[in-house]
Amino acid sequence: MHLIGNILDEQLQDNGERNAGRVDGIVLELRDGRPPRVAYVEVSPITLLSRFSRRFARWYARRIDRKLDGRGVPFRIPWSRIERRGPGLRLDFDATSTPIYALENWLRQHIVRRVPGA
Amino acid sequence: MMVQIHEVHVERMLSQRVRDADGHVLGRLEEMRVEIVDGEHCVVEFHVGAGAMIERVASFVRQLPFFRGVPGARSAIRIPWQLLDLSDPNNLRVSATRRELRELQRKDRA
Amino acid sequence: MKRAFELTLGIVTSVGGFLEIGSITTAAQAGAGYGYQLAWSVVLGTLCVAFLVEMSGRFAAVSKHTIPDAMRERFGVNFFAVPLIVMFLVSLLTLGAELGGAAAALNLATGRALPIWAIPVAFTAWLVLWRSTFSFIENGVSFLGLVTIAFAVGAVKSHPHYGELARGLVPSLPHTRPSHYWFVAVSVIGASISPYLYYFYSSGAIEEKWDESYIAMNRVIAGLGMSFGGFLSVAVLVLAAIVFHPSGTDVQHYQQLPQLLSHVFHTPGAWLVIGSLFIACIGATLEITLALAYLIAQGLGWNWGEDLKPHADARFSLAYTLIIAVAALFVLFGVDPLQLTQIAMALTSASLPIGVLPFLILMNDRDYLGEHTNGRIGNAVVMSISVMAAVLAVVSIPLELVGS
Repeated sequence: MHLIGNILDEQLQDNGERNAGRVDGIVLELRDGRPPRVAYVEVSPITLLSRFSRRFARWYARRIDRKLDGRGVPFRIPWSRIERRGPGLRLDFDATSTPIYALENWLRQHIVRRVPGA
Repeated sequence: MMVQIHEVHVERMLSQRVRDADGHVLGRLEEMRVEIVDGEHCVVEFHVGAGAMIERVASFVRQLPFFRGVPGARSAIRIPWQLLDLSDPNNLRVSATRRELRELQRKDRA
Repeated sequence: MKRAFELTLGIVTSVGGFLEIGSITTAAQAGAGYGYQLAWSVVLGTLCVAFLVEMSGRFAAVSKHTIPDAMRERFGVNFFAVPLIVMFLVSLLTLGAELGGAAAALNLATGRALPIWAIPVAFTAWLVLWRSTFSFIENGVSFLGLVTIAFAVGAVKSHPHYGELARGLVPSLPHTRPSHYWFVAVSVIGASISPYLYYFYSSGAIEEKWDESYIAMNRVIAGLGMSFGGFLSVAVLVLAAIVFHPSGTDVQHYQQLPQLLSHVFHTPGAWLVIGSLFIACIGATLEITLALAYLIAQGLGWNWGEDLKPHADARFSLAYTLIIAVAALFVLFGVDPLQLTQIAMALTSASLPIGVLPFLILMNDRDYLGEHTNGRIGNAVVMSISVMAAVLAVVSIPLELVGS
């Protein structure tokens, strides 16, 4: 398995086959005398932005943190909760109650629901 | 604090220059190979080359008529995990020289 | 039996959906300015788009990936951002032109000022997207789009000089206004090969759950559908060559467009042009808006799908809402739809390789397509036409701006 070719930027789906974002970042854990362990996958606009500009990503994280308490850090998924299945990656939990779906849920409740006929 | 030192981000190391023990640039980090070691997914090998993007474009261009002579990218240098120092993602260093790495690869293939 | 129906439907929708403000006005400008001489540019553009549409259908059917999806996966987000942003901006201009075209049709029909129609047109298009399903949009709108066949009937009835038309199919050097000639040529090519078209097509193939058994059908749909569509563009060019070219009139205002058919069908002809313009532009508005929303949703891994209800993909639904609202601003602020179209089409040509090259790389990737990767001919045709169009565009756009 290759981290860049097979995992980074890959589509994630949750246990209900809902699209759950893409792998925006991968975190390795370094240990003395042992190979680096694949520890987490990050799904977050902060991580995504940091791939273009670290400064902009930090600014965005600060803003988000001020508005939504505790959301100024990227959402991490432990590697053990991810399974490679078929062409994509599968999470073993429901993503709709995680930060991955925070924007979706907020928009649905505050905007879409108020549009008549939705 | 300790935790942060022991973590590195794959996406930040991607496409960074990698230098050998003599300080020569070997190329850019373009891939990491993962295998299961002691029941855990671990990075066992780093691939350094011209850059994944350049290789993809070159291999496509070579398929077009009149462009078959475009040189293919040299095969990536494979670096065992023990030899790459990841402590500073902005300054990736291999603890071997280019020649030693080529030697290692030749032995691997044999 | 089901396949025969799907095949017919596919061809009909490609034909009905081919003409839009870009292809109508650029073909009319080509015919008005140079008679039949620029017919080759329609052929070249159509040939290229037929290949691209076939490829994107095959890609979706075999790999089950849409193009933006695979681009981010394959090239990483940093590289993916370049074609994403370029195509997004160019398509947004095109979307503004389409909304402008629909508003122009209403202006011609009612005599009320163009900007007044910005909000009603944008709202109507948005309502269709909000309430209906993918197949309704694709089939319903394209069936209405068959009214554009009126251009073909009109062209035949005006007895064009077929020998001269045949000579126009071979590229030749201009006798007058050379820089304008090449500018119009690249606009025509850009109008045929709009990238949103094949991006939209691949998302459609995924929404309709195509698999490898659709490869042959996809080939026929792309080939026949696009050829018939290109035939309609040629018909517009022929009509303009007959109506405007002899008197040396350029097409500079959309108010001139109804004359294309009124000289054969009289008053009903003018109404046919107005109706065609409205339907074609609304259809293209829906397609471009969806294509752009797909681009964002697939690039970021959101839930997406026109068949889902808005509350099941709130981000996707609000993305297209926002896109359509922004594009409507062009009309609201009174930007001339014809000028906007010209700029959008020339920029489309100039940016073609940015969208096409990564796509071709994917089309040659065995990880996605297995044994169904591109042949040499497809690679060569698409690559050479798009690079040539881009080079011509980069050279002729500044000359055109200086000249006017």
